[in-house]
Amino acid sequence: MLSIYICEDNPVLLQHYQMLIENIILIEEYDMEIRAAVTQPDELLNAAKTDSALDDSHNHFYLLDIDLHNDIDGFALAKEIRRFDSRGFIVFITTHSEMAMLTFQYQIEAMDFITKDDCQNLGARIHACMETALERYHVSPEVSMIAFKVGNHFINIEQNQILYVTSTDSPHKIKVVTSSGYSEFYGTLNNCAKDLTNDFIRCHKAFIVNKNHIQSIDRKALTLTLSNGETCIASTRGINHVIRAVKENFSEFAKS
Amino acid sequence: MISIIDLFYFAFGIIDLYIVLAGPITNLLSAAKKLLLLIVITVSTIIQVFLLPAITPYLTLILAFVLIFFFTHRNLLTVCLSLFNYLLSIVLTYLILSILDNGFNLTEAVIIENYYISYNLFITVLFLISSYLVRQTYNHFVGNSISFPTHLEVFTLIYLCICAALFIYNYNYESSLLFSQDMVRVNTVLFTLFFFVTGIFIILLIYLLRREADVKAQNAQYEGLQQYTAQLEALYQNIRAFKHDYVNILSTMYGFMEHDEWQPLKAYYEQEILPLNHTFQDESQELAKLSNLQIPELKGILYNKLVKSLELGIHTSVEIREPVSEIHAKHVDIARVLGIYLDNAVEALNLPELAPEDRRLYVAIWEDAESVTFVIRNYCKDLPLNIHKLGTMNYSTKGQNRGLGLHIAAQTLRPYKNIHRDTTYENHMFTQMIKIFKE
Repeated sequence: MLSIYICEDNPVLLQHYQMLIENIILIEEYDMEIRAAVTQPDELLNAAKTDSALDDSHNHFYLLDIDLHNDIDGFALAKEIRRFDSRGFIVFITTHSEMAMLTFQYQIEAMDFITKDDCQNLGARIHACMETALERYHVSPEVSMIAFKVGNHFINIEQNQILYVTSTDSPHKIKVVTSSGYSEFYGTLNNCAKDLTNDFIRCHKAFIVNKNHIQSIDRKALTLTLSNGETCIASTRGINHVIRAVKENFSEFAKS
Repeated sequence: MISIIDLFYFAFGIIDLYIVLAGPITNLLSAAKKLLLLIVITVSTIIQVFLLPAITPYLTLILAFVLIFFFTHRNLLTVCLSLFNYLLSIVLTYLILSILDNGFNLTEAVIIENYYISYNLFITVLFLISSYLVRQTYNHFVGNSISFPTHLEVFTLIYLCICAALFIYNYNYESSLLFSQDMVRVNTVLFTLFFFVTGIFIILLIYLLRREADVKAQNAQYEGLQQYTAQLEALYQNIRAFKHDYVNILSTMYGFMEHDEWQPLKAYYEQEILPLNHTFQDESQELAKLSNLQIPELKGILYNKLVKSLELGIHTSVEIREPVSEIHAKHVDIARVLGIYLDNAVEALNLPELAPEDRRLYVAIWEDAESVTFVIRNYCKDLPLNIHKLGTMNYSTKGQNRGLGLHIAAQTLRPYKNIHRDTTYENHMFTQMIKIFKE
C-alpha cells in the first residue's frame, strides 16, 4: 500500500488535487490511500512521521507545493521528509518561475515536477507519477551500495549500476564506469574488490567486471562485451572465472 | 673494433638524451609515442656514429624535435621546453666537470678513462632530477594559464636552436682536441653565461605574458559584471513598468465588475492578463538568478557563456536557490573548467539539425553542509563515443586533433583531492557535475 500526503497552501487547489487523486485511485483501483491533505507543512510532517513509526512497510508518496507561504518552503519540507524517509516518492508542484529541477533532482531525488501553469495536463501528470511510483514500489530490489572516498567525504554508488572498475593512467586512481557515466576516485582495485559483492569478478589485472552486465564473451579474443556495448579485456585465467560465474548465473536462472 | 667501454658510453648517451628530451614533457606522450621516440633516437644515433660522424648529433636532435612537435599536436612550446632542458643538461655537465676539476683535480679526460661508470650514473640521475624540476617549474608558472603568441614561440625556438648549435659545435671542437682542460674551462664559462642570459630572457618573457593574461582576465570580468548590471537595471525597469500597468489593469477589471459585464471581463482577462504571465518568463531573466552566486570570477564566466547561449536561441535555465559565496578551490581553476563545460554544451546545442525545443541547457549550483555542487546539463541526441574516454587527448566528437578542452579541464582538477567529478549520459541528457567538498 502506498500512502499519499499532499501539502498545498491554497485550500482551493488542495481540494482540487485531492479530488483528482481520489478519482484516479477509484478508476484505476490503485492500492493507494490519501493519508493527509494539508495546508501546513508541520501537519504533513507529523502525519507522515506517525505513520512510518506505526508501520514502516508502507511506502509514501508526497505531492508538495514549493511556495508554501510559510517559514519553510516545499524544498525545506522535502529535506525534512528525507531525514526519516529516504525511499518515499516526492513530486513537486510548482509555478514555472520557481522551477529548479536539477537542484531538486540531485538534492532530494525528487521524482517529478509538475507545473501549475499547465492546467490541462495536471491530472495526467499526477496519474503518470502515481503509476510509476506503484511500479517501483512493487519491484524495489535490495540495493547494495559501495562508498568511495573523496577528500574526507564519501560518495555512494549503487553496485548494480556499476559495469566495471578499472585502473587509470595515474597510479592510486581508479575509474568506476556505470551504465550512465563514469567517475574517478582515489583507491586501488584490490581495496575496491573487498567492498564489492560476489557479482564482481577480477577478469584482468586492471579490470573488475560486474557479471550481470556481461552480454557476450569472446574466448579467443579474450574480450567481454558489456550491456552498454563496450568491450573490456580479460586475461586467460580471468576469462575462465567469468565463464564459471556466468554459468552459475544461468543455472540459477534456469531453476527459478 | 668496438670495446665494451664504447658500448657502455653509447648506451648511456642514448638513455641520457632520451631522458633529457622526453623528461620535461613526459605527461604529454603516450607509452607508444615514448617508445617510438626512443627507437628513433637509438637508430639515428647508430646511423650517425657509424656512417655520418661529421654531423653528430644534429640529425638525431632534429629528428627527435620534429617527432616531439608532431606528437604533441604541433605544439612549438613543448619543443622549446625539450630543447631548453637539453641546453640545461649541457650546462649542468660542464658545471659538474669544472667542480670536479677545481675541487678534486679530476680532468674530463681522466674521468672518461677511469671513473666512467659512477660518473655516468651520476649524470643520468642528475638529468632525471633536472627534467623533473623543469617540468614542475613549467607546469607551475606556465601550465594552461598562459598562451604564448605564435611569433614569440617561433622566436624562442630559433634562439634556443642557435644556442644549441653553438653548444654542440663547441663541444665537438673540444672533443676533437681530446678534451683539453683549457677548452673545457672556456666552454664552461661560455655555456653558463649563455644559459643565464637565456634564463633571464625566458623569465622576463613569462613574467610579461602572465601580467598581460591577468589584465585580460580582469578586463573580461569587469566587462561581464558591467553587462550584468545593465541586465539587472533593464529587469528593474520591466518590473516598474508592470507595477504601473498593474494598477490600470485592476481598475479596468473593477470597471467591468461594477457593471456586471462578465463576458467582456472574461475576454479582457484572456487577452490582456494571461499573456502577462509570459512577461516574467522571459528567459533573459534567468541571468538575474546569478545574483546568488557571490564569486565574481564564476559569475563573470557564467554570465558570458549564458548570454552567448541565450543569443543562440538556446532555452537556458539557471538554478541557484541559495547564496553561494565560497568554494574550497582556486576560483580561476573552477572558472576555467566551467567555461570549458559550458562551451562544449553550447556547441552541442548549436548544431543545425537540433529542433528548437531540444536546445535546452540547465545550469545548477547549490551548497549543502559538506560541499558546493555545480551541474551543467545539455540535451544531446546521441553520444557516439565512449563516455569515459572523453577528456583523453584527441578523443572528441569534433574530429581529429580536438578534445583538448576536456583534457585541460581534467588536468586542472587533477591536483584537487576534495573535488569529485561525475559525467553521465542518460535519457538524451549529457551531464557534467563537479562537487567541491569543504576541507
